Amino acid sequence: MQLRAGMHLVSVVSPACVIVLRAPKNDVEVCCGGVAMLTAENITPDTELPAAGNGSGLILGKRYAHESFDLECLCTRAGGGELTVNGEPLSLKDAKPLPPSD
Amino acid sequence: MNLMMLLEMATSNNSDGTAISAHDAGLTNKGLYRRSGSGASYLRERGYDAVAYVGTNSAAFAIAVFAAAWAGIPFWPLNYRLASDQILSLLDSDQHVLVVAQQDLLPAVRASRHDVIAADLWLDMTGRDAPPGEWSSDPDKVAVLLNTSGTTSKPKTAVLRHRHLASYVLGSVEFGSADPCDAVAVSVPPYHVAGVVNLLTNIFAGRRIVYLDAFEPAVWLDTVRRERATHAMVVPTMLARIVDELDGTPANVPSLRTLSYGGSRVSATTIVQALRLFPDTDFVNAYGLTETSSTIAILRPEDHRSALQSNDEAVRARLASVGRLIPGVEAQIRSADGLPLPPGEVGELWLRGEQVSGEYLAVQSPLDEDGWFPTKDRAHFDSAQFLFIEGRADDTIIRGGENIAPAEIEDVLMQHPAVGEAAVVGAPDEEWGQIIVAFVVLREDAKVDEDELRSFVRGKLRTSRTPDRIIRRDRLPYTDSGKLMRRLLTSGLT
Repeated sequence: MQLRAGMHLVSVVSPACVIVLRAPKNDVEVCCGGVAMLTAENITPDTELPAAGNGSGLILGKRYAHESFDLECLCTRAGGGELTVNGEPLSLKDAKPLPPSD
Repeated sequence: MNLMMLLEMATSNNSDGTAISAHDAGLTNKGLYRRSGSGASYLRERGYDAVAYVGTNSAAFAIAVFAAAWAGIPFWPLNYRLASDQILSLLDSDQHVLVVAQQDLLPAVRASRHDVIAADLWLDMTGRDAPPGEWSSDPDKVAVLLNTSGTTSKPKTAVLRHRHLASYVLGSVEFGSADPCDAVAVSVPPYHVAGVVNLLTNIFAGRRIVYLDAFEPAVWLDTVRRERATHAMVVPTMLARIVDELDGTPANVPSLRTLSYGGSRVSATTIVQALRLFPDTDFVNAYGLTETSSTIAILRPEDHRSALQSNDEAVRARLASVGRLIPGVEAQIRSADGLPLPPGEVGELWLRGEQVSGEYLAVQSPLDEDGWFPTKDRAHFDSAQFLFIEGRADDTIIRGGENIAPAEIEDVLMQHPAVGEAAVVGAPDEEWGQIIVAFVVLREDAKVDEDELRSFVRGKLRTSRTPDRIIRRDRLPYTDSGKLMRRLLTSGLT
C-alpha cells in the first residue's frame, strides 16, 4: 500500500488505530498483530472490528517508527498487537518534545 | 485527519481533566467534547458554511473551534477591537455564516446580514445533549480562516486546512506530556494564529488552559500566581509591559516554569531584563506566521541561557535570533533574484513544509512551483543554523541606495536610558530617496534632546544609519499581537 502522511490505519485484530506521520515513498504492508491494517476507505459496514483489546500493544498518543523505512505512526486509539512494516517491527519512539510555544 | 481527533484522544486519555478555565465557564475534556458535538449538530442542522467568533478568549471560543471542526466547516475568529464597520466589512460574504459574539460586541455585529448568536447563548445551547454524526476525516477541509494583520498592506484572509494544523500539532507536541498540575496562562487573542493553535497544542498535551481577557500586567502577574500557572504565552509588548510593571523587582512567580513569547520582534533590552527578573523561568521565543500554522522556529531555554552567559560574540548575538527551525520545516534565504544565499547573507526567507499553507481567500497563492512560501521577512542564518529576522521587507528603508532595517536602529535607540519605545520608518526624500525618521516614546520623567539621541545612535551604528529626524510621541500604534503599525506612522509623513 502507498502510505501518505495523515492516513488513518485501523487494526482488524484489536481496536488499535494509528495515523501515519511520515510515509515511505514505496509501497509497504503495515500489520497490527500480524494482520494487514485497513485504511478508512477499506472499511465497509461488513468489516468486523474487535471491540476489546488483547493484552499489551499500542499506547494512545505514542509514536512508533521504523527509520530505515522512513515510517512513523502515532497511535490514535489504543489496542493490542505489535506494529510491523513488511514484517519488521516498529519501535516506540523516544519522546523529544519541543518546549511549548506557539 | 480532523482536529477533533486531538480532542477525542485527550478525552480518552483523561476525560475529567480540566481543559479550559475561562471567565464564562470551566470545561473538562469530556465537557468540551460533548459541547463540540452539540455545537456541530446545531451548525449542521442549519447548514452553516462557517462559524465566525467575535470576542475574547473564552469557553465559548474553544467550543466554537471544535464544533466547526466536527461540522467540517471553517472557524473564523475576528478582531473584536476593530471598529464596527471594519468587522462588518470582513463579514461581508455570501456564505451562510453563524456569528458567535460576546455580549458587549453584539451591537457591533447586529447590522450584519448573518445570524448572530450571543456567546452566552451559544454556551448554554451547546450544553444540551445533541450528538451529531461523525466528523469528516478529509484533511483538505478548511479548518480555520484568519485575517492577517495587514501592518504593511491590506489584510488578507489566510486559509489553514486540517492537515496543516494537524501536522504542526502532531509534529511538535508530545501527547499527554503535561504534568497533571500544569496550567498555561494565555493572553494572546483568539483571532491571532497563536491563539487558535495553542488551544490545540495544549489540549493535545493535556495542559489546562487559563484564559485571560484584556491584558493588564498586574492582573497577569496576579493570575499566574493565583492559578499557579506553570506556563504562559505572551506577545513581546506584553512582556515589555510586565517588565515595566515589575520596575526592577523580581517577578516572584515560583510556579512559572516556562514563558513563551512571539508574534512580533522583541527588543534585546526587554528580553535581557525579563531573563533577570524571572531567573527561574525558562524562556522560549517562537517565530512563525499565520500562513505557516504558527511556529516554525524556536529559541529554546538553553539557547537563551548560553547566549546570555557566553563570551563569544556570535553566541551572544543569538539572543536576538528566533532560534532554529522545528523538524518538518525547510527554509531558504533568497536574494532579490531568487537565488539561495549561504549562511551570513541577508535575503528573503522562504519556507516549505506540511504545516505551511500560504493560501488565501480570493487572492492568488504566493507559493512558487515547488511549494515554497515567501514570508516577506528579511532574514539570515548564522553558521549554526540560528535564524535572525531583520524585519519585513516592506519596512526596509532605502537611503542613498543602502538597505537599512528599522529594527537595527530601534534596538539601539531602546538602549538609551531615556527611551521607552522606538519605531523607525522611512520618509520620502528627493535627495536620498528615503530618509530615516525615528519616533520615540520617552520613559516617564526622562529628558533627552534630538541631537543627543542622534549622537547616541551614531556612536553605535554607521553614520548612514543615524536617524535624520527624531519625533517624540506619547505612544506608538500597535496591533494586539504587538506588531507596530508602521503604515500609520509613515502616512503622517510627507
